[in-house]
Amino acid sequence: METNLDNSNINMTDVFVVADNLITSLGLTTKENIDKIKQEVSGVSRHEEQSISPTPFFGSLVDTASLKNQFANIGNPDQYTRLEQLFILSIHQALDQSSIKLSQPNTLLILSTTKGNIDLLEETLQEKFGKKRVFLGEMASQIAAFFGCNRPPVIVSNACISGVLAQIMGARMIQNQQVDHVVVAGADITSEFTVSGFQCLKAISEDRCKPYDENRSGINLGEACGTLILSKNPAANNKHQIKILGGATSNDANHISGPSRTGEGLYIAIEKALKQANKSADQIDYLSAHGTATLYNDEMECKAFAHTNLLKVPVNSYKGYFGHTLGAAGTVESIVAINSLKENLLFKSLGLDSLGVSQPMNVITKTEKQPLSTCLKTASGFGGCNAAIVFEKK
Amino acid sequence: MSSQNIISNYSSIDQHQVILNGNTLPLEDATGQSFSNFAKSVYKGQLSKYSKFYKMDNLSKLAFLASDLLLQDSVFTDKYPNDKIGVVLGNTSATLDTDTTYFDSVKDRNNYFPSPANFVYTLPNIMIGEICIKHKIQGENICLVTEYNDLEPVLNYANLLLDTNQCEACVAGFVDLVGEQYSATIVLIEKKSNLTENTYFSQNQLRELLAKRPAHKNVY
Repeated sequence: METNLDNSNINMTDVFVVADNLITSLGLTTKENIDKIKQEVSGVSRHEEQSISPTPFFGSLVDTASLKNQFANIGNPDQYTRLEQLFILSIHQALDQSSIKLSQPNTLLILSTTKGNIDLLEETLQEKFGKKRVFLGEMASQIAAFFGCNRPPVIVSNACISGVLAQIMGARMIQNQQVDHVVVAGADITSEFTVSGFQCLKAISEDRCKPYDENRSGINLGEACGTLILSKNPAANNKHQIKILGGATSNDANHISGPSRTGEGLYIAIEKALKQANKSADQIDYLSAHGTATLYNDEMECKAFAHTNLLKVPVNSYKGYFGHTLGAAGTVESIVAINSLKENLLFKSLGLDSLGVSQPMNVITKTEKQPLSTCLKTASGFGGCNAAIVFEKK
Repeated sequence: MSSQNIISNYSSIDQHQVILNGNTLPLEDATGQSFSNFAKSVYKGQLSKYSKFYKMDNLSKLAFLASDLLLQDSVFTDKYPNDKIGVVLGNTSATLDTDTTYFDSVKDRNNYFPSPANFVYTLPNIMIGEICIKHKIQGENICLVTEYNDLEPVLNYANLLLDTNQCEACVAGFVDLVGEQYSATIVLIEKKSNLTENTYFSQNQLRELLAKRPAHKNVY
């Protein structure tokens, strides 16, 4: 068998994003979410939810009653956990917009999550759904069975880059003709587990998060599901086509829970993604960054953006709208970024009063129209991982 | 699947047995020992000093042991640029072992003592981070969770990374642990064209060798 010696730059099969869905605190469809973002509405608010935290916290929670009501139209909410309901409803709504079916052998489901059904560690819920359901594989089986998936689903669990990485993996599999279509869905819930954990790391802000601000003091947690359908075929009726041009991941090889001080890992991922996309930094119109609003993450990103000549590119973080949605973040934020391209609209980065990073990043302070065609989306996470993906509108 | 990619070295650790390139390491009989003690004795007997080992949770210790046996002489990592080596690991139980320990520290509001040292190990890709830190590996990384103990999705993705030149070589494998049930297989995948030695395993040979390992019980 012959292998091409250097085909990393050759555009093999094109990969299109043909449909999407967003379920967050701001709404249960992409349109509801984008409409709220246009009005600069934040989904982060103060919650007194004893089942999640003994003390009040700022987070972005999906409305339980709306989720259950909407889910009841397609399945029995009592048979599925909160996370499975998010996944199934979101995937169902995305599939509804296209003729692609998971029951076909040329279509793959990739799920992205950091903690899956972690709420099932709690005994009452565990009794209801069974102990096995806390395994990600069992959770994925439930979701795959709902859609009659032909292929076994793939689960990516790679901290906060999971959602971007799942898209990169899906795009690579299409490019290399392993499958024709990939449904990528990322979801995580806000639970006692994650809230207490980030609290004990002293990483949670006591107010709404402020990415890149000089007074930033940590993250808000959020729950969400974002689904994108990737295909080798362009979308049938869309005015604009969105393509994935390239993507890459990297590791800082520095610390398991602290971002690199130099941004070198993120630099490597961005450089590789741009090279694959055959784009230079000055051809990027818009940068959708990770921007968790921790002191170290935002500064690390700033250094990487300086090193990759991206400081002038308009940049935002969507954490002020949805909080940090962990395994969902990469899919959720990519969907909003894609809509930003489609509408030629740069969305304000919520929470910024005064820039507090070492280099002059061009953070978007006002939602405004601008012609856009190329977007770079980045993410970084625990374990020292970084990811970057390039989208283009045609 | 590409036939150009071969396994230059592999290790497996299952139920107190350590296999390196097909040979069982002559270790003291560890029957009845806890994983923790077993891991410590393998570490002390086979590997050079690395103080971070003691801070790791059991899943990361298992991944670290299995990979360090292959990487400690730096022959593999010296051959390639840091950012051209990938790490692709699979797992079935994610971090359920440490998740349970961590959750026990917060579920009782009257006995609430969440530990950051535990919480940071509640993501399955942390074991990839540990391997990358030890060996300064900066290329592609991914942690795939599967329903069964299955190396195939891992090999498939590692081959994809090599065949498309995203990576020159990969550390790949399957590492799973819950309580005293554990199983690890780590392979070094390289392009045949980059190999000067004649000793290596084809991917099919690897499958046959792995089929002879001690049986891994399902936890539930």
